[in-house]
Parts: sequence; C-alpha cells; structure tokens
Amino acid sequence: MSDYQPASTSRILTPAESRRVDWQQLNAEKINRPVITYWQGARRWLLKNPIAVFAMILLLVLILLILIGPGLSGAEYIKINAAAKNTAPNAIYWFGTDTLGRDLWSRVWIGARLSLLIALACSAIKLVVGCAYGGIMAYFGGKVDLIMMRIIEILDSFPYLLITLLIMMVIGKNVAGLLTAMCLTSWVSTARQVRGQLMQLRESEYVQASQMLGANPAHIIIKHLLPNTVSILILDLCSSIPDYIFTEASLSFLGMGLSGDVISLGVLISDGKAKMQFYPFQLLFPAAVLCIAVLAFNMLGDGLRDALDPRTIE
Amino acid sequence: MKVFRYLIKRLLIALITLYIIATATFFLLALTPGDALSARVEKLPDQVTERLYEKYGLDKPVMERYLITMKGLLHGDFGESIIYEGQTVQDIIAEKGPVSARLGLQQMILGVGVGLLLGILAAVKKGKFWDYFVVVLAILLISVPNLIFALLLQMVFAARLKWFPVIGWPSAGQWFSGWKYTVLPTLAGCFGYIAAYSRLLKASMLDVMNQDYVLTAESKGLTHREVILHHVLRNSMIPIITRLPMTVAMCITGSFFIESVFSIPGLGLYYVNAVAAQDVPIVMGETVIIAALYIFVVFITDILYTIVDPRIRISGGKR
Amino acid sequence: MSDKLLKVDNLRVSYHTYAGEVQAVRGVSFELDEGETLALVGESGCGKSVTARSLMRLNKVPPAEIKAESRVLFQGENIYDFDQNRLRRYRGQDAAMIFQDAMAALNPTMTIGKQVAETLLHHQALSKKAAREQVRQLLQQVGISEPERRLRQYPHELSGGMRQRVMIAIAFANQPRLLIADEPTTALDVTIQAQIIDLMKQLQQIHKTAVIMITHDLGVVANLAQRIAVMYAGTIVERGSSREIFYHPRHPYTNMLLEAVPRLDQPEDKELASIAGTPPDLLNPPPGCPFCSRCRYCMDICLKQRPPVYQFEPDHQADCWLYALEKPAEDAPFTRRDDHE
Repeated sequence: MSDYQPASTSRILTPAESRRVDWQQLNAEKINRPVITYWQGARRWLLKNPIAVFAMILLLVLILLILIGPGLSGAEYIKINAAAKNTAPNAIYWFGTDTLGRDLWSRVWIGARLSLLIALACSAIKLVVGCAYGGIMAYFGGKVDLIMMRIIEILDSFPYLLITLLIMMVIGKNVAGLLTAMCLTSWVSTARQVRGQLMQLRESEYVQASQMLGANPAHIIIKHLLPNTVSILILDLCSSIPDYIFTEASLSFLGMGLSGDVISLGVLISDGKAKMQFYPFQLLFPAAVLCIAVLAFNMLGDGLRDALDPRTIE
Repeated sequence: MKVFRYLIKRLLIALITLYIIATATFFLLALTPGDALSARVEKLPDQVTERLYEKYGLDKPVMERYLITMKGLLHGDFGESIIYEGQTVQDIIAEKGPVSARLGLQQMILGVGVGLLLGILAAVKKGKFWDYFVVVLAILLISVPNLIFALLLQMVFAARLKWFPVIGWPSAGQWFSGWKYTVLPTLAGCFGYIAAYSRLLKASMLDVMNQDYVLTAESKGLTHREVILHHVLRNSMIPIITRLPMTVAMCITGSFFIESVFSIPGLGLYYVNAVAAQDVPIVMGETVIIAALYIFVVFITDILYTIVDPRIRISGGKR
Repeated sequence: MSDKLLKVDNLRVSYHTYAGEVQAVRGVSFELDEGETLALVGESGCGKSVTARSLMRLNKVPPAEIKAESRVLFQGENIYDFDQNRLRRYRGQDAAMIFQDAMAALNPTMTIGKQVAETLLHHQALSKKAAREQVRQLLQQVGISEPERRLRQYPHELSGGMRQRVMIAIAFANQPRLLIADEPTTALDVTIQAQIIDLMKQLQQIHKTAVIMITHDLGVVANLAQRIAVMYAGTIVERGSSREIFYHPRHPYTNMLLEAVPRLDQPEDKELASIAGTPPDLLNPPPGCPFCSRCRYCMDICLKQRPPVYQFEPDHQADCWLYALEKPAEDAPFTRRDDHE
C-alpha cells in the first residue's frame, strides 16, 4: 500500500514551492488587526454617530453665542429704552425687548452665560466631592465604608427641594447660596457610582492579576482605575449639567432663585411668564435657549454612553 | 427569625434617619433670618407682638423650642400652622393630599403606560424607524423641563385656543365633571415619565435579548411574540417594577412647578409656600412625613426585588 | 441526497463588527446520517459555535451575515428557505440545541417545569395536565430525582449538572431527529461531565437521534462520536471516522491536538505538547493555509495557496500540502503509513 493517495486534482509540488519556511520566523503572535485603544475607539464611534456630532456642533454654536452673542446685536442688555417697551422681534431687537425696553437678544445670552457657569461650577464641585468621598469609601472599606454609606442614605432621604429652599433662605438668594444649595446633596450619586466602580475594579481579576505581577499602585491607578472611572464621570457630567441648568431655572421661577440685577435663564423665564399672555416671545426665547442647551447636553451624553461602553466598541 | 431581625434593623435605621432629618430641618429653619411672624407683626404694637410670639413659643431659646418640637414629633403632634391659624399638618394633608395624589397618579398612569409601550416598540424594532423615533422623542421630552411644557401648553391650549381652562382645579364636589381642568397639568407632567420609562424598558429589553435563555427560547421554536412576552418582557420588567414605588411616592407628594403654573391647590405648592413663610410646624411635619414615605418606599422596593427576581433573598445578596 | 438527514454545503458566516467583516465560518461542508454522531472539534474562536448556531438559524442578523451560497439542507430542504412556520416546526421539533452554560441558557424567572412544558405545548396538542405529566416523565428520564418538586423550582436552585439535565430534557422533549450540543459539558466538573455524556448517549440510542457534538475536548468525543471533523480558523481541516482521526491523524493540526491530550499510558517525564501561537485573525484571513503560521512543517506554498483536499480512507480527508510532496516528509511521521497495525 502506498503511503498516501493524493486526490486526483493534486499535483506534485516543485522544489521551490516545497521549500520549508521557518515557522517561528513567521511571528505567529503578530496581530494583523490595527490596534485601537479604548479612547480611539470611543472617539471614532462618537464621530460616526450623527446625533452626537449634531449635539457637539450645537454646543459649539451655543458657546460661541454665549461668548460673543451679546455684542452682535449692538444693543446693550442693561440699557433701558422707554420708547421701545415690549417690542416684538425686529431688525434692531432680534428677540424683541422686555417690559423695560431692554434688548432681549443680549439678555438671553448673558443669562445663558451665568446659567451655564453655575451649572459647570456645580458639576465640578459635585465631581470633586463625589470622587473624593467615593474614593475614600472604596479605599478604606469596612467600617468607614459602612458609616459613610449610612450618611449617604440619610442625605438621600432628605426631600431635595426642601434642602435647596432652606439653604437658599439661610445663605441668601445669590450665586453662593445657589451653588451651596444645589451641590449639598447632589454629589451623593457620583460618590455611589465611583465607589461601586472602584470596588468592582478592585475585585476584578485583571486588577488582581496586575497586582500579582508586581505592578506598582501608580500603574494600576493610571492604567486600570482611572480609564474605567473617567467614562463614568464624563457621563455623569453630561447628565448633571442640564440638571443644574434646569434646577436653577426652576428655583428662579419659584421666586427662590437668584434675585436682584442678576440675569440667568431662570430669571428671564420667570420674567417672561408674567407677560406671556400678551408678549409670548419674552417667555419663548429664553425657554427655547434653555431647552436647546439641555437638549445638546443630553444628546451628547447619549452618544457618549454608547461610545464609552466597551461592549459597543469591540 | 432572620427576617424578623432584618425588619427590626431596618426600622431602627429608619427612625435614626428620620430623627437626623428632623433635627437638620429644624436648625436650618432656625438659622434662616427672620421668622414666620416677622412680616405680620411689623405694623402691630409691641404688646400684641409679644403675645403672638408667646402663643407660638417663638420667644423661647432655640434649644428649648427644639426639645418641644421633638417631643411633639414623638407623639405625632406637629403643632399648629403659624400662617393658617388653627390648622395642623394632618388637616392640610387631608385637604391637599388628594389633589396632588390625583394629579400625580393621572400623570403617572398616562406617562408610564405610554412610556412602556414606546420602550417595547423601540426594542422590538431596534435599528428601524420606530426605534429612532422613540430615541429622538425621548431625548426631546427629557430636554424640555415640565415647567416649560406646562407654560407652553397653558399658552397654546388654554390662553390661545381656549380649549381648556387656564388655571384652577376641580373642587371637591366636581371630581369627574371638572376633568377639563386636569387635562393640561396631566399632560405637562407625563412627558418626563414617558421619556424615562421608554428608555429604561428599551435598555433593559435589549440587555435581556442578548441573554442565552432567549436563544434557548428561540431554539424551542416559539413564536417571536411568545419569546418577547414570556421570556424577554418578564425579565426586563424587573428594573421597571422596582422603580415604580419611588415614582408613586414622588408623584403623590406633588409637583411644585406644575401646581404653581396652573394654580393647583396641592401639597407641592403649599409646601414651597410654607418653607418661604418659615411656617416651622408645617415644614417640620411635611418634611418628616415625606421622608418617612421615601424610607418606606425604599423598603418596599427591596421587598419587591425578592418577589420579582427569584434569585434574590431577603437580607442576602444576589445569587 | 435525500437519505442524508443533514447536509451542510459551503456554509459561510461573517460578522460585521466595528473593525470590519470577521469571516467566522469560511466554507464549511459536512453531512450527517440519521442517528449518527458527528463531533466538531476545535479550539475556541475557530467558528464551531457559530456553525452550530447557523444550523438552527439562531445567528442574529445583523451583525451576522449568512452568505447567499450557504446551504443547510435538512432532509433535503434548505432551512434558510423555510418560512416562519416551517422554521418554528424545525426548531424544537425536528432539531434541538443544548448550550454550554445551562445557567445562562435557562430563564432565571421561570420554573423548570414551565420551561420544559413550553416546548411540549408548542409542538404537540396537549392539555396542561398531560403536559405536566410528560414533563415529570421527561425529568425522570434525564435522571432528576423528585421531579414533582423540581419542576416547581427555579434554575438557580439546581446544581450545574442538574441544570444541564434539564436542558437535555428540553432538547429531547419532542424527540427531535437532530440534536446540536454546543460544548454541553465544558462548564461542568469532570465526574458530572461523564454522567451527562452517558445520559446523552443513552437518550440518543433510545430516540435514534443524530447528534452534532461541538467541543474543544478530544477526550469527550472519543467514545461518543462515529465521525470527527476538526475545525480551524473557520474551516474544516480534517474529517474522518473517529478511529481514523485518533489513530491516523493526517493534518499537522490534528496531530498536535492529539499530542496535547493527556494520556495515562504516557511516560511520566514526557511533557504535554502545546501548540505555540494563536489562530489567524479572521478579519484578514491569510491567503494560504490558515495553520501555516503555527505549523512546523510550513512550506513556501502554504503561505500562498489554500491546500487542496486529500482523500485517504473512503471516509477520511485532510487539507494539507504535505501530501503533494514527491516523497513523504521525513520529519513528519504522521504522513507515513508504516505504523499501520
């Protein structure tokens, strides 16, 4: 019996074809696929998402208008023009004027500026406090964690509006009062998330493996803990900014927010509400800017949620 | 026995939490400049002022007032309103509670119902027109605060088109005949629920659809409908059911903005006014009752988890 | 070819991922007789699970794409031409599937009894009571004690082996002609593994069911399968009777797989062989032999051209260029036949 029976279609290899190749030189471990890091993947995913791209463009336009908008119309936002009270939108007053004849276009962007600044400041405070608190809980664990968790549970049971209103009354209806009132309990959700994520990571096999292989703590924090927590924080930021913009507006609307000569979107909406039967544009413009800002952040947050989810990147 | 100890522990923690909340609220109110009477006594002679302060115990030092208030709380006696003479918290809740509860429940039933339907639609038609429709709708609805919805609805459907009354609420006798008053406030408040619940259910369903047991169900030859109804929906309702109690609690305590826009005599609006007027007994009473309700709801939620998900046991972790 | 129960012809499945098209299965063909057992063996990621799922049309489309030229003929009919009704009858009645992780494959919020009864009620005209009785019998058949109590329990209340038995009960409920078992024992302890394999063998003999057994463990299939197909990088590189594959492997990959199986009759000091390297990335499959980068007999031609099929015994084929040499390679003993008993 012959050694083997080549199939009828086969041929005998030429010496050149049958030359042996050193298989170890072929570099079997070589990875052909272009290596995409997590952040590169996330960015590419985000840029392919039309809603997210639209949101980013919208945000850029908004920020631009907030920065240079008030100067564009040539009308000053504090100048009272007794001759042009409650003017409907026209070529000079693009958004019309308010009851005192002040230019609504520039007032809206000045107001949006303050609303956004307050929202950013609150979000920054929320993130810093939340991270620190959550980090301490996860780091120490045990009794410390238990006690700190109880504190969070108590804060969670406070009626949110009550705390906000009371703080505003104690500190006063100014920016400082607003910042304190809005930040006092809202960091709790960030702290919970950070703690949960860190605890989960600490238990995860790859972090333990990394520890076992002798990686130093700095490496573990930079390579493993940080990237996984940053995505949570970015999402948190994207959802908390619109929340703060909205809360500020609502408080002003209830007459418990900013008062005096300060202009925010909330103040403008609450002014506009008084005259909405007769001059609806005074309510509509600030309300529309508020909704567009909130919409942009929400859409961006939605896109980011998909982009930062490692399961969707692959 | 284990369950009994668990309940005792939960009760103790709840009482401590309530105590801390009451104390914090009291001292925050005490810190606030002025008091409930300051606006009223401005033009009154000193003698009358003194007598008024004596009547409400506001002349006593803070610590003594604190002790008196706490003693009252222990007996469920929150004291009389300073602004509305002779009324207690119980009277006010009995009067305004049903109003807020009706509004809240109407919003919730409409909002959660429509939201869940849209969520199912989006999950089942993933990647198709209806999915995108629901995604965009949810983002839009979330981005327009219900305060602005309320104002817009009021402006268009009440002030302009005159289909519905601008403000007001059916009084006690016209529970059904006054339905026209409730339409706009209900609509204004339900959009948030639609957005939140459609997103929640869609995410939950997509998650479940990726589970192996859905493949098993498909490999049994079940119809698509059976797979969705018996396997996917049942499991994806877990996060929904456990979130419902909190939604109920939030909506029966009243929504401040909608009540204020439509001048609805509900708890929410009243509460804000009481805080603004520093009506200490009323604020203390409402705060404690609302906090107790929240704590109770969290407890109910934990119990619900053990009912809807057989893997979870009381006082134990998952699995 | 209507006497064959199942005929898979040039099955190609791709997954469209963010990085590009991954060709998970690249032209797989095999046949299966009534009552026969075929083992599909290969390491993880070689496309065997994707193959298994496409035999039930369970791949999610998209991201999966079943290429148009693929044929899966069940009793002569292409299952990809089935309408929804026929497909539902095929699933569960003609063919059934067992998954690797029974915990994940059972619905956590439904009792065992309901999950078994569901498939019965769907395919047979039964009263609820009759179905319940059948469920009880089925559970007893798969070796679950106290079936009355068990059928009211939830999956998490059962042990791993017990859960897999429930899966088997579900699979055999309607006495299918074809059973596809996707690594049914991988998640189990070794002792339980043997019990489950025995159970499957026993039920298969009773019901005359054809079985496609998917596994990465050659040890599992040794006394179960009549025929073995070895998969590598989305293709079948060697197929033949169990005996042929075990005693006369023809493909260097199969040979190395066998060397990697621990054996009792091996000298103690002999190290277990392992296969260096990783399979090729199916995003850019190599133009030549997929195994060439890990093959110690790799030749120039292997890098450039896919090897043809060589026939050995009537039912033994391998795809390898080594058989196109003028005379057998001296250092590749398995290509020679001197050791034939």
